Amino acid sequence: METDESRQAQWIRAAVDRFSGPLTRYAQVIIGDLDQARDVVQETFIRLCAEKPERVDSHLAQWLFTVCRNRALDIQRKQSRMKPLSQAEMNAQASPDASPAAQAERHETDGEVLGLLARLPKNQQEVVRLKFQNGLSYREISEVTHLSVSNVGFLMHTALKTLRQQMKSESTRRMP
Amino acid sequence: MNITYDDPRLTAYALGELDDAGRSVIETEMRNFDECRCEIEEITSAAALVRSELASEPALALTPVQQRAIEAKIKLSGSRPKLSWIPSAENWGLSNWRPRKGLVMLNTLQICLVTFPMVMPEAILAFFQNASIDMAYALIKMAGPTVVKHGLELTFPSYGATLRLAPECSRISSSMVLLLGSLLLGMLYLRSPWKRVLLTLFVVPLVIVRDGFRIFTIVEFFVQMGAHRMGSPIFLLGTPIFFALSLIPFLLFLVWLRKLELKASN
Repeated sequence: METDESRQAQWIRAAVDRFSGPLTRYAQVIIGDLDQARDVVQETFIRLCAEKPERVDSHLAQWLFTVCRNRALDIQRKQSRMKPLSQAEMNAQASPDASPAAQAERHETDGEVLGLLARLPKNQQEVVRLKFQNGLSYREISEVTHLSVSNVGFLMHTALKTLRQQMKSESTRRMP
Repeated sequence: MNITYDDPRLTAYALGELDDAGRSVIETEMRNFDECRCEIEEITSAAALVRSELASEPALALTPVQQRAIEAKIKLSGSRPKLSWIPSAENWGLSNWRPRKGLVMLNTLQICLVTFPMVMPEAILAFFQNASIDMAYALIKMAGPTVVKHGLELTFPSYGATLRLAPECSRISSSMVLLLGSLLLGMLYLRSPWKRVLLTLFVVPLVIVRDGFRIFTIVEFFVQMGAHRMGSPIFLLGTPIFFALSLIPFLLFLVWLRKLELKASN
């Protein structure tokens, strides 16, 4: 007969299998560093081990992304207090005002849409990823990000509008 | 057209995020205006493109070391002890039970329970009496009546009355039950020696607060009902009532210490 302990262990392993990849990607977008993102995800799952499945299972994805986000933001805040960004790091970070040459280079290496997505403000990138990569609803995204549902809707709308406009202008630019 | 192209509701509709009322508004617009329908189709196709591009991103995984750390934690949480109030054989001292040692311990407890109140040093008794009267004095001052404290006496000038704390008012017998209870329950339910000590020390302020509150209640009865009610049965019932009340914070503290232990062992 299956015990509560083995059921809980299976439940956590299933969560690790399903969410470790998306959570790592999400944390990496926030922190900008893959190793630290992995550490954050590890901590998230270790915290999950202390939770009872019946308390979390109904909103597991939302719980995991919330814990992961809070921890990632903690690390980001600590880093910003501890060390100023070096010039090289500043150049490496994606930003809307990066030089056109750098942008063009990044578009060649990334998919075109992913390159455009990386140029969006961080809060827009976050809601787009939570929605399209992780399948969260507006309400769940609002719980994770502590924004109102209408604010999430506005960010999503603005992000998609910007992406569409940029895709149009890119395709116009490439036409002979 | 009632909706502009720049309305977030169009995006919400395309992503299936609108409720029934919102959907019907947009669908009416779509039936009446081709521009609206085209806009939503464009949003839908852009969303599909973003979704497929994000799905094509290479998967990220935790390192093998991190996966092993999580697996170890999963196994550890599987064997996590539950908050049980049935003491284990180990806590009862039965895992390596030696009858002679157990009998000696029980006899010692019995002797303490009977003899300690008789041989209790006067200094300890005086400490509890003074602390209780100080506590009661502070409570009475907060409640309002003018009161003067002199040693173990409380004088109420407005009523022309003086209450003197009798030695039996510092309920040594019920305090002893609490003290010995803390020793016994600490032994049964707590593993860490310092938590056992903490539980026993907790009895001291608890007894002071309880006795202080008891004196305060008697004074309130005196103020509200008059001196003729001082011998009524409610005063005789006071002792078990206040003893029972003091058990509540005592047991809550024990539960808290035990939860801390379980948390630490997890």
